[in-house]
Amino acid sequence: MKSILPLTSALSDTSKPSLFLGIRTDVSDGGQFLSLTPKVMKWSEDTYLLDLTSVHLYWTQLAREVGLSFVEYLSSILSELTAANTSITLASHPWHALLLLCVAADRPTLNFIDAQSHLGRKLLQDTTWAHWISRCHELRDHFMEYSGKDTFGSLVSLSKTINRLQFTHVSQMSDIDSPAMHRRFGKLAATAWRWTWSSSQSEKKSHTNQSSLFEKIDQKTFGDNFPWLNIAVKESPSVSRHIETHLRHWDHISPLLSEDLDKLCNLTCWTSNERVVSLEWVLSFSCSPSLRIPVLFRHPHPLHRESGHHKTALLQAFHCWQRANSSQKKPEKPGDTYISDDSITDWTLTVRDRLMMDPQIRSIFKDDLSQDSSKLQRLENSLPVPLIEYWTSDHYCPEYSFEQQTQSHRETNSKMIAFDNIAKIATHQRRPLFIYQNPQKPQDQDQSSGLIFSERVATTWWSEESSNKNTCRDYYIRMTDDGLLQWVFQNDDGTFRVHGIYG
Amino acid sequence: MVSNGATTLHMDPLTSLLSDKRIRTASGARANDHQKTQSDCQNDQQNDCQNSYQNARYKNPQEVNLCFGIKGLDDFFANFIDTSPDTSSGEYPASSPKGHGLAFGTLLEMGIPFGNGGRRLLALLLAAATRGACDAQKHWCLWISARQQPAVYPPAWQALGVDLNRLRFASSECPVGDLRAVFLDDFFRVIIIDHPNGLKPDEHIFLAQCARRHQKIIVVARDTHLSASDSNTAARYRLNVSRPARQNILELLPVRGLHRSLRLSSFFQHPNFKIFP
Repeated sequence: MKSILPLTSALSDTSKPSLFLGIRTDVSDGGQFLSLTPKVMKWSEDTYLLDLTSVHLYWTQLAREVGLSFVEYLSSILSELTAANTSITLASHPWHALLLLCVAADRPTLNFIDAQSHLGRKLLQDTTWAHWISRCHELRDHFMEYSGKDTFGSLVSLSKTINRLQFTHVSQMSDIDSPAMHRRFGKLAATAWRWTWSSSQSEKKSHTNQSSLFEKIDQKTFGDNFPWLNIAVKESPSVSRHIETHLRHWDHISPLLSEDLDKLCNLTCWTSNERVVSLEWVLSFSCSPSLRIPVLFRHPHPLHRESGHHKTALLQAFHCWQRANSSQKKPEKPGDTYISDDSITDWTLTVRDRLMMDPQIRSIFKDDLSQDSSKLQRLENSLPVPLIEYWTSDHYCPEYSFEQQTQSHRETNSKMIAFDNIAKIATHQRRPLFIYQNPQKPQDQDQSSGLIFSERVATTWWSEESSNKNTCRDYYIRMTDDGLLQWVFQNDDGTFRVHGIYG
Repeated sequence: MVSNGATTLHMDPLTSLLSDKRIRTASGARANDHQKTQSDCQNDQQNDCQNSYQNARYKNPQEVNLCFGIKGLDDFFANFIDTSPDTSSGEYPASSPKGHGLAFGTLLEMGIPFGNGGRRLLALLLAAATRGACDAQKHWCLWISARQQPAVYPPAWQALGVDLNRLRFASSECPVGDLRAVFLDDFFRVIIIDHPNGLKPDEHIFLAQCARRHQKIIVVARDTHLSASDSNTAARYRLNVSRPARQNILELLPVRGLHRSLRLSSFFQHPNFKIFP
């Protein structure tokens, strides 16, 4: 349930992109969904979950090439992959996708629902207790399968309470928070309840590729222990090497790694149409414990196309290798050695996640980008940090006037007030090149001198939380005594904040 | 090695520079005065070799320049090329300007205290590059910064003329280490490194080499003014950007590589930057 954040809060990260698909279909296995993403989970006999986190940017760029939005492109691919009577939901959390599928079952005319659309939000609010408890039972089974333990309790007391109160919809108990649910009805209910009411403010964890690739390695699945289990795929391509000489420096490692990447490409268990999303490189040492280094690509990488040199894969492996070396722990016992001093004895290189493009899909939705886009993706795949692209939107509030490329649901965002183009340019020309995510308190005492009025910005007061009293801000340009050009605003209550700097 | 009578001389650049008539000994005598009696053929061949080698600092006449769009600023960076010495006097004429704007293949280091408005110059450069203002060719640009806050405000950049579709931003504490692939690739023609945290001398040399080899413009923008005693010899130009207190003037003061300063009067009344009435 999306809400507009108050003016003084975070910039541009007001909503998480929808990255999880829920699909109700009667196909026997979900193998064809591996064309979309390497992470496919079979939730039940007729329900699949897809995690698009690792491939979101890739599909977004493909959609842009043909002039479609991410949602439109996705729905057109899914219409080719699935039958006409398939129900599909798109949400920012897999639990929301599952709940929407229940609701969609009662409305057979709706076969594609985006949870962040107006209709999707309304339908989520219409989730009944019967649907919710049914999903919780399935969730319990998955937790048991995932953890091997049965410590989540049952929902008998919750069902009795709901029957006694004669509640029909989950929204009737929306005032209850997750800790209260845990106290009364146990861990399972509390976990599902927390997911049901998760807001964009409380879950700041980014599931997008805009974070450093290395942060993804350290995160648990979703950060809130959703029991994700990928469907079994056919054999993962893997090669191993035994090292006989002392090997420690990258200059000696990279030629051997390049050879192994070539061997990997020559294996017959996969084809050149498939794209690598992540590799797993497991190294064994003579004295130290083995080291697992995930090599992640920001975009699905065509490994076969770089046979012979594998420049991109080697660069990314080098960054991962450096990071692994820099994050090594000190030896715990006196006889132990640093990994950096230890010699590699053998390693195994495995293609962990890959995009298996269905030939039918490949022929219809060509996965070849334009030359510039391909070069950019190749470069991004060889870097440890993302290359961020910004888009501007027609909103007069500075915080909402731009967004990063990961927020691809511009069309489903809250209604932006139309802004005349000329007026927009004139307004932004007077604004600074750099602004603070959270406006700062001015350093000096005399805040009201030397001000030149710039503009007045009113908030979208009708959708704001009642706790925020400031409905408009008066912006000024201020030159400090030490020559700093600041962009400051004055709130309704007279307080000043520094919002930007004219670089 | 020089071979007598050979039609082709294989001479390394260092040797050719040492025999350059511009290099004089401590006594003021020309380096090769004692060789005046050697065969004319050998001297002609040496001159041909000297002319075939150009100092890496000076631009290739075929280079295309990138203009800021502000005449005074474009003239400021107007390039100079070597000309042959006058045959009668042996003196080199005063260099003559050739072209306007900043040449590709340049490493430029600028000292721009954060908040004095000088970074608008860089935004104008990016606008010219991404829009194809000068050579009708649109270039991909990259802005690298270690600064987390304040962050960039893209609508203001777009309002200055920057095409955001051709501009990317990266955040890195070690730009050369993390983004080496970007410098070694031809894709991004203009790269701005804003507020770098301690670039080492060999990294400066690396940046200069990448700029020359891949015909890029690389700008290193520091938050403090540069000093002439800094040992960065790799940058083609080094200059400081300052704004006198409470004045709407931007001053470009050369530290090395340029021979005059520039005052951009009414810079903040520029049509693209009307903040003062």
